Amino acid sequence: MNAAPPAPWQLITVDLSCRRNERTLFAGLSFRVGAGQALALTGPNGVGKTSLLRILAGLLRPEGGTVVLDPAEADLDLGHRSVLVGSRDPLKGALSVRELLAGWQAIVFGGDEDTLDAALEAFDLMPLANVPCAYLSSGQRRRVSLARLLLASPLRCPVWLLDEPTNALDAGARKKLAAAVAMHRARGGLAIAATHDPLDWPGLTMLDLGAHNAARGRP
Amino acid sequence: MNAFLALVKRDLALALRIGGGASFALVFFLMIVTLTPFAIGPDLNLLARIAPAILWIGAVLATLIGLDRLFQADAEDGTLDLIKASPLPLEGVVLAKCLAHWLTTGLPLALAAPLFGLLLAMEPAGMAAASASLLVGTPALTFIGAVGAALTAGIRRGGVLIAIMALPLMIPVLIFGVATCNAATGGTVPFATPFAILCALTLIFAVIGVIGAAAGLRQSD
Repeated sequence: MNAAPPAPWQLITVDLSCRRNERTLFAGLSFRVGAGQALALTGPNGVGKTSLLRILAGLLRPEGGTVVLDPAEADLDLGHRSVLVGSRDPLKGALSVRELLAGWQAIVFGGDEDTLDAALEAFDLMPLANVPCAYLSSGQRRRVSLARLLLASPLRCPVWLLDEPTNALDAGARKKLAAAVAMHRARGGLAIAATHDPLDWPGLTMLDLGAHNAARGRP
Repeated sequence: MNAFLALVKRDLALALRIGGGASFALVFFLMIVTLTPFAIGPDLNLLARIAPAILWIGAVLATLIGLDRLFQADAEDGTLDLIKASPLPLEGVVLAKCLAHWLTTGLPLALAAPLFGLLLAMEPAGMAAASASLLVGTPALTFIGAVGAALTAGIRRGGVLIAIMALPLMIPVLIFGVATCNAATGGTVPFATPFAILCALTLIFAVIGVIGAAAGLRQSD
C-alpha cells in the first residue's frame, strides 16, 4: 500500500473562547493537532465539548480567538475541510441506507460508487444497504452516520470531528471505528473526538476541558 | 449544479414517500373547495363570482400548512449541519428546497385548479386563468414562506410564527392572483395587466426569499 505521504496539516486554535446563553463555557483555549494525530476532548457534561466541535466545523462563531487549518486553502473554509459527525444521526426514515449515503455524496462530498461501497463495507453496512433507515436500531443508525466520514476525500476533508462517536456502538463497531480512524490518520488526516468513553486509539492526546477551566480559575 | 439537482431529487423523494407531505396540500385544498359550496348554498352566480377568491385562499392556506417542515425537519436531525458543508452556497440550498416544495405543493394545486373550478361553477375561461395565475403565483408563496421557515427552523411548533410573518407579504400575491382570474372573465382591466404584476411579484420574492432564507439559516445557531 503506497499511501500518499502525510501532508503537513495542522489544526491550530489560538485563545479560543465560547459563550452560550450568556454563559462562558471556556476561554483561552489554545491547542494544535497535527497530521496523523488524534485528540480526545473530555470533561463533564455542559463544559462545551460539542460547542468546541461546532466551532471547529465552522458552524458556530467563537466568542474570541481563531481557528486555522494550516496550510489554508483559499477557496475552502474550515467548514468544507472537516467532517462533523454530531450527536444526532441525520437519517431520513423513508430512504434506504444506500440512497441516503448516495444523497450525501451527491450533495456534500462528491465521489463515486466505489467510495460508497467502501464506506458501507467499513462499517459492516452492506447487509443493511437496502433497508429503510426507519427500521435501523440506534447502533446501526450510528454506524450509518459514521460511514459518511469515509465518503469525504481525506485530501479535501483532513479533519474528522466526532461527537460521542462510540454512543450505542457494540464492541465490533468500535473496533471498526478505531480502524477507520487509524487509516485516516495514516493518510495524514487528523481526528478530534469528544467522548466520555475511553477510546483505545494509539497515540491519543487528551484534552480535559473541565481541567482547563479549573486551571484558569473561573472559565 | 449536481449538488443542486441531487438536493431537489432527495427532497422530492422524501416528499413523495410515506410520511412525506406531498399529498397533504392537495387534500387540504380539496377540503376548502368542497366545503365552500355546501356552506354558501345553491346560489351558482354567487359561487362563480367568489370562486377565484376561494381557490386562491385555498392555495395560500395549503402552502402555509406544510411550510414549517421546509427546514425544520432537516434542522432537527442535524441534516442541515451536513448540508451547510456542501460546496453549494446556502442560497442554492434554499432555492433547491423551495423548488422541491413548489413541485409538490404549488404545481399540483395549479394543475388541479380547473377540476376544482368545476365544483365552484367556474366558466372555462375562468378555470384556465385560475390555473395560469396559480402556476405563476404559487412560487411567490413558497419563497415568502421560506424566509419564515428559515427563521423558525430551530423552533418547535414554529408554524404559527411563519403564518404571522408570511401572511402580510402573501396578501399582494393573493390580490393580483384573484384579479388575474377576474380579468379573464370580464372586468375593466385586460388580463395581461394583473398577470404581469403577478409574474413580477414572483420574480421579486424569488430573490428576496432566497437571500432572506439563506441569511436566516446562517444565523440559526
